[in-house]
Amino acid sequence: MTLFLLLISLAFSILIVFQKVVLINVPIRIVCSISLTLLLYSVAFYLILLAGISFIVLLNFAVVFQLIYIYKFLEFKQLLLIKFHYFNSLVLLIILSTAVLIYQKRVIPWGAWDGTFIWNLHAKFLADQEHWQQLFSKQISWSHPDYPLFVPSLIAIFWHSEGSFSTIIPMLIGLLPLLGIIVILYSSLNNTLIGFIPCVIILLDSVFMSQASAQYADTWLAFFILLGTYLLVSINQNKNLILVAGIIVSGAFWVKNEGLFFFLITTFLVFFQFKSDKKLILKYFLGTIILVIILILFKIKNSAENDMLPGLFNTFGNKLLDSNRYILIINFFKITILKKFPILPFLLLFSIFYYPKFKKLNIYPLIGIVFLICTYFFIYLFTPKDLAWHLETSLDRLLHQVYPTILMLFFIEVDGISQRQPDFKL
Amino acid sequence: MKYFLSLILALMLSFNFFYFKRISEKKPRFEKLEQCLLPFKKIVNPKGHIAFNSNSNSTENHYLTQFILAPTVFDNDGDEDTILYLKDLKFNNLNETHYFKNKKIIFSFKNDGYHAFILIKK
Repeated sequence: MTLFLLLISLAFSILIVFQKVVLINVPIRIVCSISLTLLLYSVAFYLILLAGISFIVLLNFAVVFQLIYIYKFLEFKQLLLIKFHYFNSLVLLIILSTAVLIYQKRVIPWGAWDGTFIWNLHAKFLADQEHWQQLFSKQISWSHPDYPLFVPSLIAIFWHSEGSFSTIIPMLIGLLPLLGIIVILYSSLNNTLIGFIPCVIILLDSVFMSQASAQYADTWLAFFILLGTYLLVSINQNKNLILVAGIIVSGAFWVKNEGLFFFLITTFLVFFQFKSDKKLILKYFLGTIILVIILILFKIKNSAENDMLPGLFNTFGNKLLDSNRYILIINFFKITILKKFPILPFLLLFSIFYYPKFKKLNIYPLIGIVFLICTYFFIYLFTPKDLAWHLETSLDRLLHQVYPTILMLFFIEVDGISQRQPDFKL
Repeated sequence: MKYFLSLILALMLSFNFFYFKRISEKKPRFEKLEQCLLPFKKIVNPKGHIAFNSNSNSTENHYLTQFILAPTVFDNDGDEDTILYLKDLKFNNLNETHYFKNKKIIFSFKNDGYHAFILIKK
């Protein structure tokens, strides 16, 4: 019964958010509404845990409030007027079905190592409203209790409502970002054929699909980076989107600690790009404020100490001047890109070759991605952990986080060329 | 067309949900351990201080036990008075009797893969 109530409440929220987020692109508008709703529920669940209020009682209130809101304010006539492009929808449906089938072939119950012993374990603690604070015990510091709670809280909400630890819930939660990434990649481009290519690249990429099926939070972070970047790129459609972009960009650090770097870099670039429009910057900051407060609250009240921070700048000078560390990092980057992301060098070569035609080039998001990769580079340089081990266990996941965004930015440019030159062929 | 798309979507979702249910029945080793440890949920106090010992790969078994019995926290090789001892039946350890010295068995459960005990120091 509670699960049914939760699903109804989620559906109502998505409907309300959908009406508020005015995006011309309907599939991305749906994806955006779902992700905003999930962020809202994740944050609300964390606050409920902190306050010690019963989730089920609050859920009942939420449904009543949502019903009143929908009855009073929701304009169904406007929603019914929204038109889908039938052919595009059918193609998208086929791509999504293929993605689900590939995911199902690869996914295992409780996920791979980090999926089980970090994200699903954290969710098990959060699902118990009485003992959830035990997640931050020193005895289980190996499970990184300082990691943000977006993914665990979503799983916990469903487990708590269902009353059991079903393995299907984390599998379905893990599937959502993959579907979201495909919808954005396909729908962000005007040309259906060009939109089809990045989706096929993703689906045929066994490394990407394995990572996406591992139930790690990295695919969720990849999704937030992609959606945040898309919203900032499409800001000309509707300036009010900057508020939504602020929420989504700040949502990245509620998913994973690395998301904080994306947030800081993007915020700096937004400030730089729109420095003449103070209203726009203010709206962006307004969007980020809720999650910034939640993150500060989490880090002060609950989060354990990060395992990297204490030793990050030990022997700073030695590490900075150690050429062997630079060589090792560069070699690892080279090997990882060539073995696991072979499409990236090809995209770089293509971009250099076609650079004069890239008139629509969105330089800021590209700078953001380059800055992000440079930040990761310096984190590796000063890491207190064994450098080779650290690179081996995390570099592919860091590149996984930015891979869909690089694909989208590249194909937006190709799409732009094809629009200006109808006879253009890949 | 709109209804046709909705029908395809509904069929896809129901098939996928059924398929996910089938996937969730895989992972036999984990399930055996889970089957052996779940009866302990009623015995252990989620706020109690409990040590964890095992006769085989202690770290991995500790992680798995921690996952299965969360939110109870287990201290791997800790010196608490209450101990959860996990015996992997495929693994022979002749020295394991020392784990039981000066300890009293409070509760135990066995299946064809594992034998788990709650021990307290005498």
